[in-house]
Amino acid sequence: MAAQSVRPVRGEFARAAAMEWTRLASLRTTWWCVGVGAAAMVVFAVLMGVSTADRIADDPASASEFSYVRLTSQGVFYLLQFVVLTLAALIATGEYGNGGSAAALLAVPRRGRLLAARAAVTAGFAFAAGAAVTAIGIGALRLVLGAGVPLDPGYAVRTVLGAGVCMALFAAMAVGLGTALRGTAATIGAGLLLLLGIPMVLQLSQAEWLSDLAAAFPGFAGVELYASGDAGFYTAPHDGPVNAFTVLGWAAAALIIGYAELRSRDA
Amino acid sequence: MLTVRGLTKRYGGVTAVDGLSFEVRPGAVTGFLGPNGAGKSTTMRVLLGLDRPTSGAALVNGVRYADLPRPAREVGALLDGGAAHPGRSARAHLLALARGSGVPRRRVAEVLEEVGLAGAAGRRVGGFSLGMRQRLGIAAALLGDPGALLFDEPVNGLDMDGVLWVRRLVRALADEGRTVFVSSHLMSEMQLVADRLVVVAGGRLIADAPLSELVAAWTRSRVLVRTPDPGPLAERLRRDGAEVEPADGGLVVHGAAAEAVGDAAHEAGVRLHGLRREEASLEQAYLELTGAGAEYAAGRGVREEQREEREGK
Repeated sequence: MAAQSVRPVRGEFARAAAMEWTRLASLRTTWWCVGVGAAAMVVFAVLMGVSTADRIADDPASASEFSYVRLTSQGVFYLLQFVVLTLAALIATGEYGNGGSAAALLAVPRRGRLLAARAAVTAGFAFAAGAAVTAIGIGALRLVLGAGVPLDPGYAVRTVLGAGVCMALFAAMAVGLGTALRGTAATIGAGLLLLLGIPMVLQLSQAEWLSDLAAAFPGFAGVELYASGDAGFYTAPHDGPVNAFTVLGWAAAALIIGYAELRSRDA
Repeated sequence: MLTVRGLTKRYGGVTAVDGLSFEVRPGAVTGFLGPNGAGKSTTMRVLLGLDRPTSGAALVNGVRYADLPRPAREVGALLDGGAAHPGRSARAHLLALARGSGVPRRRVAEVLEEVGLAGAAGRRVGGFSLGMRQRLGIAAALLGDPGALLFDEPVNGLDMDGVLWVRRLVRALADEGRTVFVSSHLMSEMQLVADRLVVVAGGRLIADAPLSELVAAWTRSRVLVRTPDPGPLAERLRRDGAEVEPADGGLVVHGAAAEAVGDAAHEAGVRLHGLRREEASLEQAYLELTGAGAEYAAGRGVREEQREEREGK
């Protein structure tokens, strides 16, 4: 039983986060998700860019109506957020049933610390990947459209950062949901309903208050946030920080529920 | 040192562990023996803080697992069926655990070498055989060089080489002064590795004693007698203090040597057609002691036969 040389104790949280990062980065699925997200965004940007270029060739005046922010945000809304949801759900639930979740708890027995580390690492990764893929989308659009359609760098930066923050919060939400539900399929299903299904149905209704309620769901509040109010297909009753707080609230609530489940249930 | 004190664990209406108390001391291999479903895995999971006890306590070095400052340095565990995400390499799996538990990363290569997986370190766990998975699980248990080790059914699914390797490893770990706690449902396996046995059935403690004591207490022999005159011989043997049961074509005698039975027959003038000593195996004694499972199986067999009769087969 050779005594281990006691190294200076790094923070307990830092250790848990280092473990979660190794777990995340050592799965091919993680990098596949990033690759698929980037590819989807590029294909979307090229398709939309080519058709926009055609329209501008027919009617040069329409160039002034074109919005990089709107089109990129739609790519994030229809494609990227679901890739992030899938990735985070896999990270949160992929180890139930193969003993991996017990192994992680043996290394980091404090369940709150483990969940916090997992959420932080997944969210950090989703921020980086989300911002990068959004920037790639804007870049691809710009390449297809050329200098004839001006790009406002300030708006582009806001979209890139907004999408990064939103993807990070959605990832944290999915980690919370996944920890509570303990199944990949159930987590992705619940995420789809919150991001798209329920708010879409509310929008279908004729009643204005129901329609406005859609903005209380994370997918719609999110698109308002990263599109800076220019989503193109939907207008929330309120612009600005309220949408950021809505998304934040969903992430926090999901993590609290996940924590309660993780704490009270047998692993 | 592992301490289980008045431990009870219920899952819904099912009592998996029922008032279990025992201690596991360092420097010896303690076997945890019982049929499947006896509560062995549950007890180990509570010891490791994975499951919460309904009442009582299960402590590692006097402390709950979650309260250990450096758990991986104090106790390592191989759980039943526990391995890793199939998409991750053996090295990445262990590296993540090393980082989480604050173990220097050089230990990853060391334990991979120790369990004979150095050559497969970069391969994904999904492609591992059952034996390789067990070895990886043992590597994870050894990662923090802990003073106590819990192995849940370590030889399950291993080939003969693997079984021998586990036996040697378990012995070596105990000889280094560590606390080694190994579960199994096989008496024969425990006889080969354990110094001491904790025997459970139906979640309750059946025995907690050194192996040699249990072997002495549980190994019984009997003498089978074939004779056309069982009556006078039985009477004579009972007078000498033996236990006698009538059997087909003669008697079964407990508590007397074959020689004594032969002499008694001679003195009583009883004809003998056969005299044979029979050794009841330790396995047999264990099965009888933990009999709930066996009775259940036998009872079900009878009921099924009756049902088949009713159904006119």
